[in-house]
Amino acid sequence: MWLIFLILMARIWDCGFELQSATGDIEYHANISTPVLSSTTVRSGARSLEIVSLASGLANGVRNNPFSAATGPFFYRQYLNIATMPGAENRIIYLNDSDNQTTPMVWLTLDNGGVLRLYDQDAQITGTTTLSTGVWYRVEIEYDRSGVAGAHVVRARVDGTEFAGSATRDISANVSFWGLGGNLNGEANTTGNWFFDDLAVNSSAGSLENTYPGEGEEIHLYPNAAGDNAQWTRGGTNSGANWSQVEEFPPNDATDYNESATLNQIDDHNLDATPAALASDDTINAVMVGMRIALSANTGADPNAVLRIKASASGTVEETANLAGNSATWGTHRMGGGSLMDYRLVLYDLPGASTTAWTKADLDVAQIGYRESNTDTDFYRFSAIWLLVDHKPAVGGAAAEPQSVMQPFFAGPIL
Amino acid sequence: MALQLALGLVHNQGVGANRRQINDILPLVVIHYEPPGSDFDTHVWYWYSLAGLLTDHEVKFYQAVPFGIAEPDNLYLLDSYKVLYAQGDEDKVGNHARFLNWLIKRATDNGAGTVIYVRNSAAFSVASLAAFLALLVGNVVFAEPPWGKLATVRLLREVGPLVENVDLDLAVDDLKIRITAAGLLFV
Repeated sequence: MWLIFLILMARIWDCGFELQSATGDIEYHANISTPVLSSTTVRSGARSLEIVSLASGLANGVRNNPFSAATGPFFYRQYLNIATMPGAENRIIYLNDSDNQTTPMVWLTLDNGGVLRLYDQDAQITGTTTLSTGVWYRVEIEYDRSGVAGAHVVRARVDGTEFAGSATRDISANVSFWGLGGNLNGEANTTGNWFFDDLAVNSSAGSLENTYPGEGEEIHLYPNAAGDNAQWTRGGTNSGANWSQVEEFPPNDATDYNESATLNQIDDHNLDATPAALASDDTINAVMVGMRIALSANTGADPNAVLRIKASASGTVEETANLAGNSATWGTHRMGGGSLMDYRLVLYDLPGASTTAWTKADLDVAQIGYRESNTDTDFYRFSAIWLLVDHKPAVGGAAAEPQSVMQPFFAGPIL
Repeated sequence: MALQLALGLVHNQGVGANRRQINDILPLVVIHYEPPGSDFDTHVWYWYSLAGLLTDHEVKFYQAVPFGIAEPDNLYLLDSYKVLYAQGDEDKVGNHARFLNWLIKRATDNGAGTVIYVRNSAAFSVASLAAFLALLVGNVVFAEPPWGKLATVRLLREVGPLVENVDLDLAVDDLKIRITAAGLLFV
């Protein structure tokens, strides 16, 4: 019997809460209680996840499912900004094999003095660091259960500096779920207010983005004009153009969408101009095409579609393999409202290239779209599509992380 | 851990031959359906393997269509990642080294550990593939079977891509020199 597994991309999933929905299974998998999104304390883009108004004994936050039951290595990034410390030590981040926050395998706590601690299921892992209020910190975790028991790796860093880590752990199960919030261990805590933004997770695959994600800001670009093709049929409320059926955020599912049951029909959409926050000398870490999809019905063989991306009108286009149509329930990146939400098209360089990175100028003329790749009588539907851009400001740029953060990476003076 | 493979074709061989190389690969494609409720999806999903390759593996397919080449009319019968070179890439024709660079880069981006470039599909066989895969051990990062090329993700990480200012064959000669210089091996 062969092992069944899912090949994992290097960058698997990002979330900057830019779909602006606090409903589960839209941009992230599920809510734990009632987290809210903030439009005032954001690190990049327009929203962050806010943990506030904690109730005693009640966990609050979100659960993510970028992949299922894998050994790793995986590298998780979350930015954390604390407005008010918790009243006592409080679990704020965890990794788990099951879709809940009980008995996680790895977690981080924050206490009333701002001390961050790393634990796994057996004990605290030696080392702490102390955080202040009002600062965005890049908190990263490595999880690696690929070795034998006793050689599992768990590490945590803040702004690129490891504060706790061990390569001699014995983790009992593979990781699937990643939670962020407060009172995640059911603590009797009612004080505290903190924010998460710019989440990312990498595997060790490939030649780029195969270790800690490092610095990055996340924005979404949405369709704003017709691109090279507009062949799908508008469904639901007719906005008058194919691009304006799929540009909304949060996605409105059946309210308006594009659909096709005709082989090789294509929609390509132009995108919003990049914001000023993305500078012309920024490094583009990754571009990721997101989507909200469903079938009209899942009878018979069911149709498939592929995602497309090009860096200019009439330019070189890349397509994914088939994205299976298998449900009439709307889902993000996969149909059916399941928990798994890994991005299906991720590029680190231009379409058709292997070493040429994206630039702001490329993004400003890029197009994203989809093609019906297999048909039956059911329609494949897109309700929303977007391009997530993870970018890193140039050193010294206005939005770069503080210089002190960068210093561990440089042996000499920064010129 | 199962072997994570990518198999790629470049349609730079003329209309009939381009069509034929897809047809040569299609009989080797085995689709595996997984039931609803399995770990990876709420509904039925599937993955591919190569018929007759006994090593525990999964394979994804890649196809590159050079600039100015009409898509083979059976292009979409092989479920694959694709690149169609167009305006702005007018030089991506013939045996441009970019095609193999793209294949290796994109396949490893998507998780492949070993990339198979089938340059002569008529000469390709799974038995030969298995024999050459078995050679990719230790410091061996690149292989040249009679029907194409095999490259590992380690090749890309430690040696880098092919140069693109010469055609594929000369770029491969240069790559071999760099492999040796890096203390690695090819067969």
